[in-house]
Amino acid sequence: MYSFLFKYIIIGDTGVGKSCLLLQFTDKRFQPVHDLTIGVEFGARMITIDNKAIKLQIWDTAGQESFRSITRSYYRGSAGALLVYDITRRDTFNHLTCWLKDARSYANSNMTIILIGNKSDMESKRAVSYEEGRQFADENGLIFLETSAKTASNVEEAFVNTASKIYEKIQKGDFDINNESFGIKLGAPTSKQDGTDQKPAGGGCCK
Amino acid sequence: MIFLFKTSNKYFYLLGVGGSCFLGFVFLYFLKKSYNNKNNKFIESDNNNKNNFEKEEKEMSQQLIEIRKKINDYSKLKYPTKQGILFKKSRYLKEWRNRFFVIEEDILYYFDIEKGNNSNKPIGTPLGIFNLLNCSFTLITNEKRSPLVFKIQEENGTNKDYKNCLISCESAEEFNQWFQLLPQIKQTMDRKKDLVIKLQALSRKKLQQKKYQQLKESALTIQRFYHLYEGERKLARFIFNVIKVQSYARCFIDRMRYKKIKEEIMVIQSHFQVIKAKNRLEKEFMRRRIAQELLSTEKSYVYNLKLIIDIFIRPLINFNSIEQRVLSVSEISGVFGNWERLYKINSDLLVLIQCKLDNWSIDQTIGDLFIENTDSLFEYTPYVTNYDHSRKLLAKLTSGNTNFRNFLDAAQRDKRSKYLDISSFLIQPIQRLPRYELLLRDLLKSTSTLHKDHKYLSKGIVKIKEITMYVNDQQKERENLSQVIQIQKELIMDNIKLSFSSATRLIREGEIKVSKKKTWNYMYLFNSQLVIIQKKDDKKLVKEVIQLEQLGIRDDNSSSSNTITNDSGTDLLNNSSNNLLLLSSTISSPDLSSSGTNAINTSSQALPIGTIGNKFKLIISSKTEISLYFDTPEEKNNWFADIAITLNRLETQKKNFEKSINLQTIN
Repeated sequence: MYSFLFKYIIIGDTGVGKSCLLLQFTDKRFQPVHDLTIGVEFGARMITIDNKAIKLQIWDTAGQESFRSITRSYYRGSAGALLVYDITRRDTFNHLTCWLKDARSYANSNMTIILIGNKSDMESKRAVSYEEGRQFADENGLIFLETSAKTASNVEEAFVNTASKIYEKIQKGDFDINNESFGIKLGAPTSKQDGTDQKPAGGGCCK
Repeated sequence: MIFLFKTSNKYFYLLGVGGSCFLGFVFLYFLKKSYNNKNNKFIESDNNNKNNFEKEEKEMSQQLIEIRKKINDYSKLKYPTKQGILFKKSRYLKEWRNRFFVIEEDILYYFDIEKGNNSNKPIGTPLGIFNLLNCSFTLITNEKRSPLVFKIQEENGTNKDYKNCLISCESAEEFNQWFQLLPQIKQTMDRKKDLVIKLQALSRKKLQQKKYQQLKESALTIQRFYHLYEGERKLARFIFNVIKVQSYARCFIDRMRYKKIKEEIMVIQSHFQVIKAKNRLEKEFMRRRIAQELLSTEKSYVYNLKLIIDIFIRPLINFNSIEQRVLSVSEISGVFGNWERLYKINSDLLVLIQCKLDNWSIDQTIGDLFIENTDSLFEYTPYVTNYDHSRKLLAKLTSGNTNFRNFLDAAQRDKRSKYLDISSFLIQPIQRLPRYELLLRDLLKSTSTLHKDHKYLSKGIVKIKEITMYVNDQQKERENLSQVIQIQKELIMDNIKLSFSSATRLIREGEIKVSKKKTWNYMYLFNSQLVIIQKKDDKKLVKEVIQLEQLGIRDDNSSSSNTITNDSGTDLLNNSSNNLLLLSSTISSPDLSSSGTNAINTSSQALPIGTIGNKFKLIISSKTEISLYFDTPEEKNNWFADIAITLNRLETQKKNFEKSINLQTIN
C-alpha cells in the first residue's frame, strides 16, 4: 500500500487560503465561485520519493484560529506543518511569530515546518515582499515558498518538499519510526496493493 | 228780412277784410308748420313715397273723425280763414236752411245756428266736415231757387250721396267770394304740397351729399387705418409665426431630450432591476448552498461517529470472554471518552437540520435552531480535555498491546473507514466544533438584513462562539495545570518552602544569570511568584523563591529611570512612554502565557526608544536587590514586560479584594 504515512497540519490566520491549498493539492481544483470554506476535513494523496510510495495525510484547521488551545491538539502527532500567510495582508505575516511559537512548543522538536506565502497571483495587491518572507524563513530555519492555490503555482512543490525533508530525517535516524506520536507511520509490507486512493468529498475552498 | 239783410252785409264785409288779411299769415304759419312736420316725417320714414301717401290719406280720414270728436264747439276753432252764414239744402227734406260755415286751414266746418235769439252764433258740434283737399267744386245752374248755387263733393268717397252738399248765397258778391276761395284754398294746399315735396327732395339731396361727404371721409380714415392696421397685422402675424415656430421647435427639442433622458432612465432602471434580481437570486442560491453544506458535513460527521462505534467501540466491548478482551473498560473510555454521547447529541442535531432543509424556502430560518438546540454541545468539553490523554494512551497501547495493534490493523482495512487510521477519526470532534461558527458566519453573509433569519443567525453565532470558547478555555486550564504539575515534579527543594495551588499559572520560563561572572541559571515566572533554579546534573535545584507581592523592578539602562513597585501604588499607565510602547506592543500580541523549553523567541516588535542592554534589577526590599542578566535585549524586554504585567494584575486583584472586604464590613 505505502511505505510511509506522513501527517501534516496546515496552520495560519483565517482567510489565508489553508483549505484552498489542501483542495488544490488533493483534488487539483479551485472553486472561487461558491467561496465555501467548509467540507475539507482531511486530505490524502500518494506521492513518490526515491521510488518509495508515501501517503500524505493533511489536516485542515480552518475555523479554529481563534481557539488556540483546541488547535494545539493538532500539533501532537504531526510530522510536518505548513505555516501559511497571505502576501496581500501584512497582519497575517506579523502573526507568524505566534503560530511558530505554538508549533515549536507543542509539536515534537523534529517537526518540519515550511513557510508558505499564498495568493502569489495577486501581485498588484502585494503587501509582503518575497525578500521579507525569505528572510523570516532563513532566520527561523524554515523552508520557504510562495504559492497560489488559484493557479496551482508551487502547491505541489510545497507538499513534496516537506515530505522530502521528512524522508531525509528518517534516513538520518532522527525519528523513532515505531512511535506514531511523531506523525510517521510505517506501512504494512504484507498488505494488499490497492490502486485506488480514497479522496474525501470536498465542497469548496476559501475566498 | 231787409234789416236782417243789412246787418248781414256789414258782417260779411268785415269778415271778408279780416279773412284776406289773415290768409297770408295763416298760409305762412301753416307752411312752416307743415314743413317742419314733413321734414321730421321724411327723416324718420322710408324712401317709399307711394306707401307714404296712402298712409297719409288713411291718417287724414281718421283725423277728421278725431277732429270732429275733439271740436265739439265753435270756440275751439281759433284761426278761421273765412266764416259766414250760408244756405244749405237738406239731403232728405230738400229744404234750404241757414248754416254757419267756417274754414280753418283746409277743413270746412258747418254748424247749426241758435234759433231763439238773433245773435247768429253757431252752437253744438259741427254738423258736417269736408276735407277741402279731397273735394271738388262745381257750379250748379239748374237750381230753381237762384242761379247762385255750387256743389261740394268728395272725390274719393265711396258713397257720393253722403259726402256732397249744395250751398247757396244771398248775394252774388258773397257767392263769388266763397266760390273762388274754396278752389284757391285747394290750389294753395296743392302748391304747398308741391313745395314741401321739393323742399323734402332738396333736403334729401343735401343730406345725401353730407352723408356722402362724411362717408368719404370715413372711408379715407378707414382706408388709412386699414393700411396701418394691415401693416401692423402683418408684423403681428410674422411675430406670431416666429413665436409659433420657436415654440414648436422648443417643444420638439424638449420632447426629444425628454425621450432620450427617459430612455436612459429606463435603461438604468432595467439594469438596476436586473442587477437587483440577479443579486437577490445569487444571494439566495449561496444561502441555500451553505445550508446544504451544513447538512452534508453534519451528515458525514455523524456517519463517522457511528462508524467508530460500529468498528471499534462495540467490538472492543462485546468480546465474550475475559481472555479474548483486548482492552479494559477504563482503557476504552480513556481512548474514546464520551464518544457515544457525542454521537447522540449530533444525531439529534442532524435530524433538526435535515428537517429544516427538507422544508427549505426563501423564508426558511436556521439560526433559531442553533439558538435553542445547541446547549448539549457543552458536553464536548470532557472529550476535548481528554484528547491529549487519549492520544498518549493510544500510543502506549499500540506499542505495548499486540492484540490491540492487530485489531486496529484489521479495522483499518475495513472499506467503510476509507483507509483512515483511528487517530484521524479521533481528531474529528476537535475539528467539528469550531466549524459551526464558520458555517453560520458564511450563512450570515448570504442573508439579507431584512430577512428574519439574519437576527437568528447573529444570536446563533454568539451562542456557538460562547460554547466553543468555553471548551477552549477548559482546555487551556487543563494544559496549564498539567504544565505546573510537571514543573512541580521536576523541582528539588531542600530548605526552601515552595507551594503551588490550583490557581497557579506558568507565564514564562527561560535562562538567566544573576551576575555577569556566574553560570546560567533558569527562572520560572508564575502568576504569584518568581522561582530561580540551578540546573546541575539534570536536576533542578531551587535556589530562591521571590513572592511578587513585595517585588519591584527597575531598568537602569533606560534613558530615564523607570521604577515599578506595588508598594508605592504606582499605576503602570503613569510611567514613561517607553514602557507604554513596550507594554502596548506586548499586550497586543496574543497568548502571553505560552512558553516552552528551548523556545526561540524571535520578536518582530519594535524596541522602545532608549531601552538598551540585557539586564534589569529586582528590588526585593529596601536593602536587597538582584540584577538579572539575559542573553539578548529582546529576551530582557520580554521578561520585563511579563513581570510588569503580572505585577499590575496582582495590584488590580489586591484592590478588588480590599474593596470586597470593605463592602462586607459595611454590610
